[in-house]
Amino acid sequence: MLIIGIVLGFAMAFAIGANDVANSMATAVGAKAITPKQAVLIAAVLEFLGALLFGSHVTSTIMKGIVKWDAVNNPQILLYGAIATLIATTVWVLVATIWSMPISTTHSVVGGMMGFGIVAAGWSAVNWISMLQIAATWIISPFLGGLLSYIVFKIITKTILHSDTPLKSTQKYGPVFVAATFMIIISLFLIKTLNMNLITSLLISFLLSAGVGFVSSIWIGRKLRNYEEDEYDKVEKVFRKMQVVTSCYVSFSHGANDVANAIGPVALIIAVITTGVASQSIEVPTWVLLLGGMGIATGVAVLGKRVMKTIGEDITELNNTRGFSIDFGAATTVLIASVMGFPVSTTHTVVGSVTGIGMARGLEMVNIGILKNIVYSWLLTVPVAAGFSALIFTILKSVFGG
Amino acid sequence: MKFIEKLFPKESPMKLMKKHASIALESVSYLENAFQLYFEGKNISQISEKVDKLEQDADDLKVEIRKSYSTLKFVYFDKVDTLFVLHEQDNIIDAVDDVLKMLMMNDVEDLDKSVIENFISLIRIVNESVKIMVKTVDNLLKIAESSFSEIEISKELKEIFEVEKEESKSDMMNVALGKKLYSLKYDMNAVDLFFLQKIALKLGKIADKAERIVEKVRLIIKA
Repeated sequence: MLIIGIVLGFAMAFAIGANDVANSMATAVGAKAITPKQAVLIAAVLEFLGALLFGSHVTSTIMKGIVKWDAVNNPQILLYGAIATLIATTVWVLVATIWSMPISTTHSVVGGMMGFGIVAAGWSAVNWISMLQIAATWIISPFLGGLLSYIVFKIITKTILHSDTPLKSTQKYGPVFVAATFMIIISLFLIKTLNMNLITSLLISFLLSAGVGFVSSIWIGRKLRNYEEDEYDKVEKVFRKMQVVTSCYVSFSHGANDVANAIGPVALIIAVITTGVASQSIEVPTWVLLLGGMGIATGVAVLGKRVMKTIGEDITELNNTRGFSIDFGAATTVLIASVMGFPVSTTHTVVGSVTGIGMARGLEMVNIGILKNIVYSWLLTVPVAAGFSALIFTILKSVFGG
Repeated sequence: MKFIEKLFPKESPMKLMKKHASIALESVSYLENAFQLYFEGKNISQISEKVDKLEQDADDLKVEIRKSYSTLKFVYFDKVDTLFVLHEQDNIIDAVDDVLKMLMMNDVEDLDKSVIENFISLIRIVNESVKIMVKTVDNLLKIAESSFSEIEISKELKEIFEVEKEESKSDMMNVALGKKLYSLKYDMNAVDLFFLQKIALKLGKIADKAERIVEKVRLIIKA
């Protein structure tokens, strides 16, 4: 049973890597900040690191929050439930991929857990308050992503695009944006993963990111030395390189947030098998996080490459100053949510960020139909994954007993 | 699951507008050569075919732009205003095509040299107006890329102000050409006279359309 769980968990992580990477890196590849090959390499490495370094917090929320443990206290039932959730979500993700539906793997796992909980012990087995909190973050995260991206773009506009000398301003403020990105990642890592106190974390992250900012200021200075072309084109070119940093940030955050979708149920299976009982608090072993990280990275490397290639061939209209703002807003929201233990959809947060920039009159955004599809799939995913998981759970229970 | 990229247009409608404007300029740029060949009594059908092809390309772009605008959620500039500009740009290409087709219908022989010179001067003025129009449309994209920087908007308004001062040039040239033609009323075939006067008016209309676009752009960026 443990091997089945591991295989299913790996398959789920693989599916996440293969599919979600296209959405988390689409803005960077679409804006020509990175090539599809670079996107695959960056995503494989940083998704893995994000999963490993930040992953455990979200995992514990998915495990603890949705199904009440006192209602489903039979280890055998929990085992079936975890397997049913993994199968249901993996299949749903694959079906959605074939139909090009913009579903969230995070929402699918939450729905899957909920579905088996209801069948196993009735509606009261689901912790509805916790579900509401998770669902609230699904609304808050695109909104927050949009707001952050809007603010970042407005700052870029005010400090660089609207200045008398956009190039000089890029040299002055560009390193600040790079340093701010690093400061957020480093400080959250120190606070949550290394459990350092706030002041020390902020001090260390400030010093390290100041160093990064200094190096980037030298690099930007070199980049801007010779220019004959249009000033705004040159600014965009500098931001094209800076967007590499934020696309790494998106991959890292995505790994941190989405690894839980695959390893949450696996951690539950391991806990039940090794201890024989279901406890309220599950310690997620590091090797399980490694497994999830490797699964995502393998999915990116094997299938993500093909998806990224099609995006690379199908370059879209997106300026790099806008792409930078989208990536920064989305990644910061997802990483903060991961650290706080809320499983949010990276894809939906990116959509929120794109909308934020659209509202800032920063881009031409096409295809209202896609936005509608997102809302429909948002509404559909949880009930479908829940129903599917409930069905598989019932089959498993009737075949193997329990 | 690569739907996020579908949120963005494959090519910005504003960049397509820029391409469309360039096609208008390219078609106008054939006029001088076409008229010189015409006055020398040579065939201009090859030039007319080239403009036909440009007209087709422009139509394809027009369809693409309209399609894109019908699904766009956020746009840099008002859709109605931008589509007005597109419509006028398209009219320029159509007018060039009409002029060339008209020239192929009737040959005018032994035309007074000064009339030919006036025609060439008028065509150069028309060409200049369309050039300015293309630059103004190009600048719209620059304004959007600068996130509507006041500095860029002021620069554009200043350029438009200069253009408007030149606006009366084509009208004056048209009047001069008309006067010249009618002064030859006792020496010229009447049909040829009205034919050439109609052509001159058509050329003047091209300049008018270019100027109307520039005026619209001024209103768009001031909005």
